[in-house]
Amino acid sequence: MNRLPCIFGTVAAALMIGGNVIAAELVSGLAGDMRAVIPAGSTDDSTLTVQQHVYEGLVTWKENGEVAPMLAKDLPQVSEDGRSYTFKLREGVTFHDGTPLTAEAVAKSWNYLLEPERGWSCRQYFDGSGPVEIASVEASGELEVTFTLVEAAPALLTQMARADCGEGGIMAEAITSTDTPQKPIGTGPYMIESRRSNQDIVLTRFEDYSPREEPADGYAGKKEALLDKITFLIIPDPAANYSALRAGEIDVWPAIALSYAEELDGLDSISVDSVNIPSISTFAFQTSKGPLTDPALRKAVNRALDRKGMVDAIAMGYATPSASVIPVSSQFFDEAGSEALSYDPQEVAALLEAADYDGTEIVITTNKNYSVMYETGVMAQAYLEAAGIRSRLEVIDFATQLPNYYSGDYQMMTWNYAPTLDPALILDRVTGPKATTASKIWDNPQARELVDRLIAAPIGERQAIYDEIQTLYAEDAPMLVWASSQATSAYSDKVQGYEVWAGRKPRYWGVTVEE
Amino acid sequence: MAQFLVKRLLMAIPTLLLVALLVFMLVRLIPGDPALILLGDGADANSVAAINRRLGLDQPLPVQFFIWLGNVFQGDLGNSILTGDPVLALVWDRFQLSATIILLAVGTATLIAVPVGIFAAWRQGSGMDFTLVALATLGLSIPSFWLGLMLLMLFGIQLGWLPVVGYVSFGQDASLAITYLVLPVLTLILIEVGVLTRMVRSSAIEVLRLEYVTHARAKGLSERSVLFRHVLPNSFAPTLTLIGIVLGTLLGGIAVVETVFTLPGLGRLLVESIYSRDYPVVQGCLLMIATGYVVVNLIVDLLYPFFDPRVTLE
Repeated sequence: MNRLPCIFGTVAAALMIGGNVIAAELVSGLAGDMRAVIPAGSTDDSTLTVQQHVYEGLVTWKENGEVAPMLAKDLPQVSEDGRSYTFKLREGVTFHDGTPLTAEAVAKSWNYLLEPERGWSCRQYFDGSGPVEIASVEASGELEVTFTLVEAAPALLTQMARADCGEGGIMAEAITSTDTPQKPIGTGPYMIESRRSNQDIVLTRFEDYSPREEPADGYAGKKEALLDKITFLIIPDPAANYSALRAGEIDVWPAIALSYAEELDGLDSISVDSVNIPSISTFAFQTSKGPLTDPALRKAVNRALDRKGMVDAIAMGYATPSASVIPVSSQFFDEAGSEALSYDPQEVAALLEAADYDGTEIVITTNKNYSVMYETGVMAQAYLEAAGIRSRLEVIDFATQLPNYYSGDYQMMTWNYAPTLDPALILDRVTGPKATTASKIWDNPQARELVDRLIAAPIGERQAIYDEIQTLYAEDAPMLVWASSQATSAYSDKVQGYEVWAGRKPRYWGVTVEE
Repeated sequence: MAQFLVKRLLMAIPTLLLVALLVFMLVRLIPGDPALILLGDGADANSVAAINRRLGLDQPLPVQFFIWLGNVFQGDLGNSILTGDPVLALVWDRFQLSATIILLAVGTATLIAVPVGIFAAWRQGSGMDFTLVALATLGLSIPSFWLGLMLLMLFGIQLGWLPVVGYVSFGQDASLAITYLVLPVLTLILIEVGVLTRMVRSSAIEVLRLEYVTHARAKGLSERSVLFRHVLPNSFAPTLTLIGIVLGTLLGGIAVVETVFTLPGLGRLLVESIYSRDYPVVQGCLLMIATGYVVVNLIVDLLYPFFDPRVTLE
């Protein structure tokens, strides 16, 4: 009898039982390079995917959008006037360069991000542009830091926890003491080992990582670094990602091109998983000028699109047809709220009559860089023509479309919103006065007031506000939502513990790879 | 020859200056804002303005141009807007990989195309000629991305002989680097061999009709001697010009192949930089490609007299 396998098995089991981990490396596809050193210095998915393994904030999001402490020991103490938030830090936390996490480092990190010249795009959530304006961030003890606001703003914690802002990740002083930082240095479970421009980024386990005790939940809780090494291979091309996964050269393709889903799903060694995420696929309407100033016409356009047909054709079923501005994944989603603007060809004629529609052409702006956006535009044009609404497709590249969106220079534009675990922040993104921020879509003071209330309200009190918003949205029809998005990943069966989740970006803590 | 070389190098300076100006202006004529692309879709106007200030993009265009040009003369092509990497090192690194692939592919394609083209010309009108021309036409008609993908599927996925994505440099592991280069080089060979074969064949057909070839045959020289001593040297000169053009064109045009095989080459860098409006990198790539053109043309001109005695370097 060959006893060798038994011996190896026993040793492996002993290692696992002892809490140790067998050496493992995971290779993940990544659509682009990391574009910034500071947390969310660029808010593209690739940058944030890498950074979420490296940086941690004082607070973060659970999967249901609730705010939870991360580097803070608990949620902060709030002063009676609501202007002062005091965070106590966890003890024994160190940065990847070996320096300890102190209140001084936290204050420096936040003040660095809030300096206007840094160009941190999330500064807008803390500088008084919205309901929150931070007056100061100061160390009030060795492990105690105090945020002082100009006025009470219950939305502070929600904004601080934003994943699209990298949770306001706390940086080591090696970064905040220079104008030209070289690589991210945080407190997260993995640290940057190397980066080859537009080729790969290698992370290694941070041996001195200090995890929380609570079970992992969203971005919160215990982050177990079970892998020795994570290699992000930068592969922009979907066909190359597909080939690499099939050849076993990557273990995970985090956001697959949906045209490959069926084929990959049919393979024995590869799994394809998909979940609803708090994100919406839309057409932005320019409501302040051009043909879509009339709400009746905007409603007609909404009613003219068969969302199920679009989802089946474009997303291969990996999305959920919806006309609601609240994502389907949200606990606050209400099917009835989605009905008010859903596909109804009979209603279109009446709405066009109410709008005195004279056959004016609507320009639909889209791009070919993202095939889904292009196909969305093509299908929308076909549905509008079928409903008797004249339209023309304007195809530009995404880099041109982006400034057009921000300047409001369009009539109707394909646009998808990145997921935020707190869906109130999507509403926050789109609602506001166009006169001061041209990229806002829904210019209605009543809606803005409701959104401000929504963000400040505890989760348990939000449903009634969402209902009011949904009603008002159906009256204004400021945009067209055609689907609630899904995150769809394909991964090798060797990968254990990996979950596709509402936050879309892959999480590699708690993940192992079978050798 | 030295005088010719110096003269040509001096002539290249105004050419490159003009290229620099055109590249600088053209890149900025494309709509789009690099700061907006860097920050992503959550950007606000203040952050965009701050980034533009930091990058010097808020300065008037002439000021930006002369600052950039001044830095270029000092060997500094700036830093990538998106990644912060120094452009000169980035472009040079990528150029080396692209140049390696192109030289290997075009060199091998030439070695195949010359005998095949001459043979086809020698057998003009025969079934073999027809077959070779058909194969050459097929080769140059196949889109490189499709051919690359097919090779990838066959050798990378079905047979598992060669890696599918990524790249390891020769400095890291020479034998592994070769495995990464086989498929992209093969893709280019299959396409370029078609282009060059047709060129060699048509040049050789013209030469075969000339009187000195008839004279050589009348003297009783073997067909092999006629072809390799008289036809080949005289028909190669136009092919040399074409090789020069192909080498220059591929420096930018290799992007498709580099994308399919995820190779970090100059072409892919250029295309990605254009999409992301990474001005310094686009400018660096185009300057490198223009310099490549100048150098390749110079080498072709220097080689020309060896193949065509009528041409001198005076």
